[in-house]
Amino acid sequence: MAEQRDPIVGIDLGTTNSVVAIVVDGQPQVLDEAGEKLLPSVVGINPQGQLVTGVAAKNQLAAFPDRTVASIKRRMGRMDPVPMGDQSLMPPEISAIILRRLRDRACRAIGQPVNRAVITVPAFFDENQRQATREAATLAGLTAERIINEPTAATLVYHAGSQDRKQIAVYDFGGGTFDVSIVRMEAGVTEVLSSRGDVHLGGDDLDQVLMDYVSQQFQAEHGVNLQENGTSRHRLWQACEQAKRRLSTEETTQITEEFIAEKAGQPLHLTATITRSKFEELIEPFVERTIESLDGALREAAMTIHQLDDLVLVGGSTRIPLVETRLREEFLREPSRAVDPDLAVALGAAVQAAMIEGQSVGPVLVDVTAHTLGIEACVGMTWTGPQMQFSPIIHRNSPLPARYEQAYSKMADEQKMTEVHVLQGEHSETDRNQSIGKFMLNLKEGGGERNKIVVRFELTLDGTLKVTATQPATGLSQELTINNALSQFQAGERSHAEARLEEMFNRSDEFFDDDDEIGFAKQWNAEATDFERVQPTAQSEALELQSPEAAELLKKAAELKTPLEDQDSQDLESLCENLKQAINADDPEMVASLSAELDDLLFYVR
Amino acid sequence: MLAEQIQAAVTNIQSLELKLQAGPQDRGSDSEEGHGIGPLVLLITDTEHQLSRAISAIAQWESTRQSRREADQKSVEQFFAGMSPLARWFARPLLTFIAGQHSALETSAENSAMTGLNLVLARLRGTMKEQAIERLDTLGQEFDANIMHAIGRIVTKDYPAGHVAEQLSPAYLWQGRVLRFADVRVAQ
Repeated sequence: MAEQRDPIVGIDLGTTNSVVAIVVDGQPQVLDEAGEKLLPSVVGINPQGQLVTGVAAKNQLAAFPDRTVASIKRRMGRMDPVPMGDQSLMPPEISAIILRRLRDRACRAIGQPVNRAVITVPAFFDENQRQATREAATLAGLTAERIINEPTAATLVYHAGSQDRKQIAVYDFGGGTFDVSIVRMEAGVTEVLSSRGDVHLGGDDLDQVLMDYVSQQFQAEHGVNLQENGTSRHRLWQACEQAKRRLSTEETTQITEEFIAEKAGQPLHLTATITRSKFEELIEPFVERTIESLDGALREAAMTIHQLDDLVLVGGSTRIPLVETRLREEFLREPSRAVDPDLAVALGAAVQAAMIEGQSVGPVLVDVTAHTLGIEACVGMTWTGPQMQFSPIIHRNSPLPARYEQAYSKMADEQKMTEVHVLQGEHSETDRNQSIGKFMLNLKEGGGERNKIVVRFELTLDGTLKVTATQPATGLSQELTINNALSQFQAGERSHAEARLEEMFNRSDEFFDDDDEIGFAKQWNAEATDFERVQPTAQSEALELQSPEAAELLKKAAELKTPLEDQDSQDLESLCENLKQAINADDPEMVASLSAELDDLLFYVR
Repeated sequence: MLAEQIQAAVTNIQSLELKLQAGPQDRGSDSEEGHGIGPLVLLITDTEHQLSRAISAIAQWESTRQSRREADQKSVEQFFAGMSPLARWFARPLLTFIAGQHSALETSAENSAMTGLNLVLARLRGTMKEQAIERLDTLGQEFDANIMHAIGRIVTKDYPAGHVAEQLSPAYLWQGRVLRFADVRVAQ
């Protein structure tokens, strides 16, 4: 059925969403449909009796639950019929419908038939479940060239082509499930050493805990439970889910829903302010559960954190800053998270597909920050004064463009200004990082909310960093734009470095001057006036043959050009010129005399 | 308070109009290639949805208040009817005063504020029309998954099964493409 020349696509057949990707010119790309990269893994029969998939099926799920099927992945491997309208389908048949839709999407996107695929499954899938996935592919008209584990695919995104032995933890925190795997890569072979998870832990739990908090606050104020009324609850959920997303970059967010409920005929409005620290306090127990699972997976693989070479983040919930912070603290390394965590598994499957086709594929290229960016902050007081440290705001390897806010406090209520010192580097000690700018922020005195200072970093793809410091309680704000923030050097330091290197190049035999023509076209005589060093030419070789001692002296003189005072330089230049003429005129006495004179001069000026 | 809200809404809409009149380069990602839907377009739909929901809620609230006022007035009249003719004669000025107070309340600034809000909404809808942003109300229609997102079902006799019995938010289309699905509950 499948021709060997057909392209092979990579498919992430997910519980909630599915994605299809392919490698083009050595780089994997997600194939979208009208801009939509994710296809909801939902299948249904609409009121007109037609088969619907994706967004349309998801939209009708709550209206016609008896005609719609979601999360079929959870039932793969069991041959229990699933009712869908007046039909009963087996789980592989439902999955086949999703795969067929993905196949059609791929055909349309690349403009040629697609008959082969690499499909990902969870590491914990048993042989029955894998076989069911293979059968689903066949029913969809696809040959499953390989069924690979999701953590393996995620690993390939970051480490494709690597032959070194690497041990990698893949942390997958999605909307409804969590799992973590320890993977070993060696000589192109990937093996899952251990895998743990919680099929009932995901971003939905985080939405719920935020909803509970906001509705409790509302009830305390107005005596109305927003979760009792279906409409209010739905609006509250939408608002909380959006707030959760905003808190991934913003330090504080507002939840505002007007006319959300009524009491005794009076309309009630919801206005709540959620800080990132409050949200983190609410979700911390869930994040700790994931860390415990990761510890468990490590123990199962008989490994310690120090043996890990990388920590790969997958799943939308890994965008939450607390997740990243806790993993960084626990594993003492910067996680790999440059690739969109919702698409990483599909991209990895595409990489595997390309490898089967014999294509050479490297790691996925994504624009990331090469260094950590942050500010200098006081972390405590010692008897010598404030203890300053580098406080990272945008971490190394963050995908670009990047935006993040961090809250700080004034050191004293009566403080009238603060210096925002922007740094780049990886050390906690301020001095060991690169200073890339600083500015002052005027503050209004006072305690409470006036103590809070929010620093916002916005880094664009071209490396422009906008730093904004604000005292939210007063609205006082100041900003600084740093161009080329991704460079190692500040403008002033760069020119200094250029001058220093230029001098070193000039003094070295190994480098050409910019003015030099390639191919050694310049002649010794032509250069003699400016003492530039070139490779020996035929003429200079002749000079050496005629008078090797004089030629050696001329060589030494040329090396001394730069450090000499003006007068010495002129004397040296004149003497060298006369010596060369004497050599050319074949006047041994003059050569000897001038050589002695040059030798003396060189002795004194060195 | 309401007047301030109207003023704020007018200012926002003026700002939106200015941005829409500006060149595509000034519109941010509105003009992004391919399938990008600009934040400005989404902001317009959000504003329209919130404003119309507010007007609807105020109208409903006003209607409830009106019913209560009428009920209050009826109780007063019933109370007066129960009085002796002499007492009623003496209390007549008080009844006239109470009736006057009620009619004054009805013609208060709130009616004018509601008119203002409706004008703001009409202006916003005009802008939406110019920009090919379309609002689709779905109440009573047969469920269509291409423009609606079901959030639940309702047992009701008011609408046939499979039809929209409650609309939480309307659908919005931009240049024929769905910007936002209508959130609905469907009759069971």
